[in-house]
Amino acid sequence: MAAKASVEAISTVNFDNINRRLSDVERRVFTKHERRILNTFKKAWVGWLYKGRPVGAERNVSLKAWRSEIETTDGAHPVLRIINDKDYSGFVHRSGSNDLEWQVIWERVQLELIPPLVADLQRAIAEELNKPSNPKKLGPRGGGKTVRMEITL
Amino acid sequence: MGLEIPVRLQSIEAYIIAQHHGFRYLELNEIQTLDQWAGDIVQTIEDEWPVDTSTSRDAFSYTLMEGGEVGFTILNDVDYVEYIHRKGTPSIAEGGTPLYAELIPQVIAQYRDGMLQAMRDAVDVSEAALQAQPAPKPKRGTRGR
Repeated sequence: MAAKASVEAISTVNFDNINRRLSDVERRVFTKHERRILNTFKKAWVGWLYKGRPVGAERNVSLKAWRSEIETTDGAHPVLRIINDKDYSGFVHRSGSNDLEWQVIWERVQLELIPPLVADLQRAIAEELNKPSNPKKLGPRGGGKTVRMEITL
Repeated sequence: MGLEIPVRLQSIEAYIIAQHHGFRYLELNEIQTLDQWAGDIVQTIEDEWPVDTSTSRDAFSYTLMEGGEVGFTILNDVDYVEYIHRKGTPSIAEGGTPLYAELIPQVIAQYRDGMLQAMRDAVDVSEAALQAQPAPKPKRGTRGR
């Protein structure tokens, strides 16, 4: 059986001085950067050669599968996940290169986009730090059946 | 449990067939337009979602449909998300309406017209570009002498 590899790139930031979830203002800063980072992956994930794929066949299939998730419940360690569930996305590389494309993009994200995320979030946290907020118990994630509701437009 | 909410734009699928005179997959500019609107819709759902710990709000994400379907699927893998209801309304066990079933269609209705128009515009742009492309050259014959 051929090996398969989807992508899950995770970035965790440490802000040990807060003992609560991110406030709405702080979370908005985080989601702004989340979207920017996800868009960086999507913008870079184009221009493939599709060698051997017939004219008219579907293209950009793995592009459609990029998504992101965040965790802001533990404000000291907010988490950003960039995910692609396509089982070949982890192997994709540019013609003439052995570098895995997701790693190339992720390295660029870590160099160029994570530092401003951290700086903006630090600033937002510093501004919010004196506002009262009760620590909350964390809720569970995952497991069980999924509810499906279809919407057609 | 969790949520999986496919939002399928069948009117755009029909529009593509009408404009293209047949089926085709989405072009890149159409994917990008759909992605922008799906992102805005999910962001608005998150903004309207009530917050206790933020766990269920953080878990929203979406992917675009593939295989010739035009649309996107809203996902949330938090296992109690379908039991969340508005404060002051009956719980789901008491016959109340789950928040997702009320809020998500509301938000989509808010964006519906703009999204469909933007998608039709994107299809028009694609069709103009496709029609401007030179027809593929016929393959050179390989007849033997």
